[in-house]
Amino acid sequence: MRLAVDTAEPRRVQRAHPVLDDESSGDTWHSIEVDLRVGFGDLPTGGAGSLLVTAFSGATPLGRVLIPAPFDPMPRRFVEPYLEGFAMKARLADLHEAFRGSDLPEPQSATVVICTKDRPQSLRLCLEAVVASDIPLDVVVIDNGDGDSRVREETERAGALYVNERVPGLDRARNRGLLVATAPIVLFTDDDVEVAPSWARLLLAQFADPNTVAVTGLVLPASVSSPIAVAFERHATFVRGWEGRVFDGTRLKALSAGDAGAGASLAFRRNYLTSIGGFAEELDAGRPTGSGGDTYALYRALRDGWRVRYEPRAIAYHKHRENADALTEAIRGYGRGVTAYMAKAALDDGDRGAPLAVLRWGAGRGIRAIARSAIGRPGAAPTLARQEAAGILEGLLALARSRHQLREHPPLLSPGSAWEPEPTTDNVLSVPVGHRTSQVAVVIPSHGRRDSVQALVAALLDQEYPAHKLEIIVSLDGDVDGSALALKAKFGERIRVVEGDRGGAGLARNRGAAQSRSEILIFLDDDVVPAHSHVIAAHEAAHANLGLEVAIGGLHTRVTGSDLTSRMIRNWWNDHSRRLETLDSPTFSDVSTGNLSINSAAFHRIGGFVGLPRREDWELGYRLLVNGVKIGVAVGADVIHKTDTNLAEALVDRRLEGRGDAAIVGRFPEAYALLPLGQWHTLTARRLRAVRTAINRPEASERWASKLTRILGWLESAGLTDRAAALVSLAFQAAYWSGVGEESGGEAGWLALASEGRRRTLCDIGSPLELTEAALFRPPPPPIGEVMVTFRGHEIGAAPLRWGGIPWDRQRFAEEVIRRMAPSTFVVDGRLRATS
Amino acid sequence: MIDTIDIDLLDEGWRPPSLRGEKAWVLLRAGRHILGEETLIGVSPQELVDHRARLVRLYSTKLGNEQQETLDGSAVTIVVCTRDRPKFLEGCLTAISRLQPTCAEVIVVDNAGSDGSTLRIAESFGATVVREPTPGLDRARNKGFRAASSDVVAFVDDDARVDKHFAGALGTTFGHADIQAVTGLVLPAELDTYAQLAFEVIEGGMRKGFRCRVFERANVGLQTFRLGVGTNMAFRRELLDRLGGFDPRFDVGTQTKGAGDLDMLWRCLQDEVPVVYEPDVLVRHIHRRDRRGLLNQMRDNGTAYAAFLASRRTEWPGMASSVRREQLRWHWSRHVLRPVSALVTGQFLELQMALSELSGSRQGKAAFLSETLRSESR
Repeated sequence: MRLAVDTAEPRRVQRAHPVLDDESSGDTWHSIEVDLRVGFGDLPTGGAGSLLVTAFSGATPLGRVLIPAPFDPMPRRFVEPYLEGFAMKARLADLHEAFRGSDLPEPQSATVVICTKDRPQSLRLCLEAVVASDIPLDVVVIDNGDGDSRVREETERAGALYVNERVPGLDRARNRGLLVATAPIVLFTDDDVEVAPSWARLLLAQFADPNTVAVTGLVLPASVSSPIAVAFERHATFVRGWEGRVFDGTRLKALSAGDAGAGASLAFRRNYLTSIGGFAEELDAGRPTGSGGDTYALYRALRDGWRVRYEPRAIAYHKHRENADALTEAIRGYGRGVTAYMAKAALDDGDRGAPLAVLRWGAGRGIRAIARSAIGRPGAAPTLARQEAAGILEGLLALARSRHQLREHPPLLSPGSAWEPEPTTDNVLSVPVGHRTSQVAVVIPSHGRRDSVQALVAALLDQEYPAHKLEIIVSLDGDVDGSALALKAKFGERIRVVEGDRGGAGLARNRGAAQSRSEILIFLDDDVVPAHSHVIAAHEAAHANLGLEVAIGGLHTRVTGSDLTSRMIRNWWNDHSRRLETLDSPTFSDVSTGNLSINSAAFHRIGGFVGLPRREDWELGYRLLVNGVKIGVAVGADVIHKTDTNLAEALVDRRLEGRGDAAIVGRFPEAYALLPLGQWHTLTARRLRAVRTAINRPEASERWASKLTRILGWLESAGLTDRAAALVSLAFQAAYWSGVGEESGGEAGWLALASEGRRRTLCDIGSPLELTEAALFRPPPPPIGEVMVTFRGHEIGAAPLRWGGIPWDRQRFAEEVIRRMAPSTFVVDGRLRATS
Repeated sequence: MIDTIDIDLLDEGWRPPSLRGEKAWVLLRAGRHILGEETLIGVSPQELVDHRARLVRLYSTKLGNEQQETLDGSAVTIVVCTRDRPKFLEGCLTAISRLQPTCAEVIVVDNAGSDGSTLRIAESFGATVVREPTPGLDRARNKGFRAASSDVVAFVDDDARVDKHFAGALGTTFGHADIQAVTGLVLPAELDTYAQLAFEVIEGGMRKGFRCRVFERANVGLQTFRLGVGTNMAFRRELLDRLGGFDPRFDVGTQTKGAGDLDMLWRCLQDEVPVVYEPDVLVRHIHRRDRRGLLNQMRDNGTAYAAFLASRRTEWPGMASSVRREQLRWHWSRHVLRPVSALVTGQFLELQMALSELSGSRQGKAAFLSETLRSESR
């Protein structure tokens, strides 16, 4: 919570409520929203002693600040200094908006589930707000009481669906809503919440990322004009920050799920939630546990390695409790809920980190509360802290009691099989189909995967493409398991099998391509299967209809295995295929040979693949771009890629990638800044030491790999997923750099390579590209060197394109430009900081 | 030697002043609004012009928003208390005579003056003169504000030079009916000697920042020195009447050597009157020119703050523990940590300043008690 309260000594006021026995009791605030883009005048204080000013830039919330306000109205001049800090953020928000362009959500439909109990008045306001949303929504009201007629009336008045769930429990009611809901996304909110019109739209927009299963929003207090509401806001605010954030098990400990958001503003993918059996019915309000149901669901999402996003622009206003008893009960319930959900994690999911986390969390809160009241900080509210502590202690018992009470009511939902992102492949009917007149050759390099290559060939023979126009060539990269015999026995003359010694997939593809006389070459890996029967037709259509010479097909990866490495690799692949879907102009690092079609004349003109063990695809892509070959995306040409990986294999992959990248730089020094190894010049001193070790002593990192697997096991079972993830990324980096070292011959060789690459990359600074606001994100591929960034006619400065990351991403580039260049360009502070 | 210059970003006809040296301490302003300050080294007039152009560009968005308002100083009486310093008084009154808009009246209080020079100078500027035969700045201030006829009374010392918008800025600030006490920004009028620079840089001068603020009792506590200084403060007449004026036991001319402003501001806060700090209300102060004067000033400051704390402790019930805490904090940070860090960094002057303040602080309580006895016997 960002409350910049300038207080040396607490205000001494009569005790207003027995609950609020600290000295700041009796405080009331007046909440006010200020749009910095519009500006503001003198602010009315409503007679309260302090103003809680929430600053916005347009629709983007920037933060809030508590201002002592002895005057009514409070003159603008006294408020301005407090909001100065937001000026910079407002500026960034404006730039983001300008750069982001249209981030319209994909057409998704959503069901809003509102659970209510005996609060028709409050429900009415809630429903009015939801109905006023700027996108159409299905609304379901679950009445968790005994069928109050007024609740039914309010529901029907709003045109929502009414369902009565008599078994008490908020999570039970939510699950009932989940069963009734039909849309792919389900939004949850409470009956004491009023949402902003854009709430649903903004939450939905975040689901564009297939790895995201849950999105939470910003929950602000509807009013802080009573001391009880102030105490609630101080002690248990729902605000989880003002920056959009992405959580997954690798960045936030799963057991810290409470930091990701709360049930007052929560959206889930319905299929995911159903697959984990919905919310835990023994948790949350209406049950002895009091709360924790929303947190547990988020915990599951994080623990399974999926992403949870926090979108502060989606705003909901929560009406805080208005009487002291309700406040203490709510706070005690939060304490119980935390222990209960962690206990459930320990008991049902075998999370060994949970007991420690309860202790750490509880003790942390307790110590902080004691320290705050000892130094007399406002808002210490020792009574509330005691209530919370009591709740923490009785949480386990509450869970047991709740389970006992529920033994006659079996849960509404039972866990199903593990969820996977829905295949994002297009509808088969909408796949573009060309004339089907070109001669097409499918070339499959294969090594030691007899069964999967047979499955692939069988599926290819079923493709809807004229058989006489289709050649299938399997090029064996060394026959180790009798693939040749098996293929010949099974498919006979319908396919061609080319045999050769092991020399890498690239060379095997070249051998296969040399055997074909077709116009179009399609390269597929031997561990993929076509998503549907029009894949070849879609590739052909990309060439025939769009005039592409190289078309990249979709590669939807299914990673089996649920360990940390698999989860990280799975998310990487999902992001990768998502990127291809939204790509306008691919660059060389998007070229992936798993599913790629090339005009055979162009392929032979540039000389085919080179014999690299990895990254032969990027190398090819680079040569294609340099020779001016047109690369695009083959819409609808999707294949499914099943892979099963473990840490050791992943490390070998990283190492080979390092070797490949070093080889690419050896050939094309100007690609230096675009490859991960281009980060060499920006490494921190500490990282640099580690990287140099990896380059000089490749064998050391190999020795580590075996130990690492064991350490990761320990860390994961102790619930320290974030640490484990950091370790994995470190290991990946070490493996990558040891590959670089191997290829370039130790540090001396690498330094020579790097300085040559650096020199060649910098050459382009002499001719900066003038990028206007509109053209900023259409850099000509390949993005090498620097560009001059201008904004609204003002030159901001030169930006290296590598800020866009690997693979190059315009959004990321824009954000880096804003983040790094804006601060030196605009005056931040009232105190003058002249920038030269 | 450092030149002190103004750069006005709104004034189209701004010309760089002639510089005596290569260093300039620059106050940046947009008309009557004070934006900030910066130190420039190795500047020429042409560079100043370029610098101003760059600043105008940087501030363009902010400057565009300044609406032109008409200022009114007609509710403001300026009280200048002086004691046998005709040179300083003349400079002070000259600055006041250049006010735009002007104030309602100027009252010069001749505090225990030994000759007629004060009267002569004040009358040459058309100011009202009031005499207070007993030495003591707070006595003089009381005489001064009681002679005032307008609603707002501003106090400046004779070694202060008001900015030309001083009265207008005060008038605007007091335009809000709830505002009763205002302090303003005090910047150096000259930085000609090392002692003046040391006071500004080492001691931090008398400035309280370039941001407008509102102080309430809850967020100040005993540290009223954070609110402002006596050479630039203004109150509504009725507030001073209600609080019974300044406490004559304090400030220059008595043994307590100061703290009249601290006491007054503290009592305002105790009375639930918020104090507004408005940097646009600008006064420039001529700091002590030599080292001896600087060290004396530091010693007096020590005495004054110690006397202020002693008076809170003896006369205000329930303040004992707060005073003890504040004394501890003060001595620890100013008289333990500061000398040590000065020793470590080899700042001999800073060490001397800290020790002077410490030696002054030892007399604070006795000074306060003796002044109390004296006032009771009167």
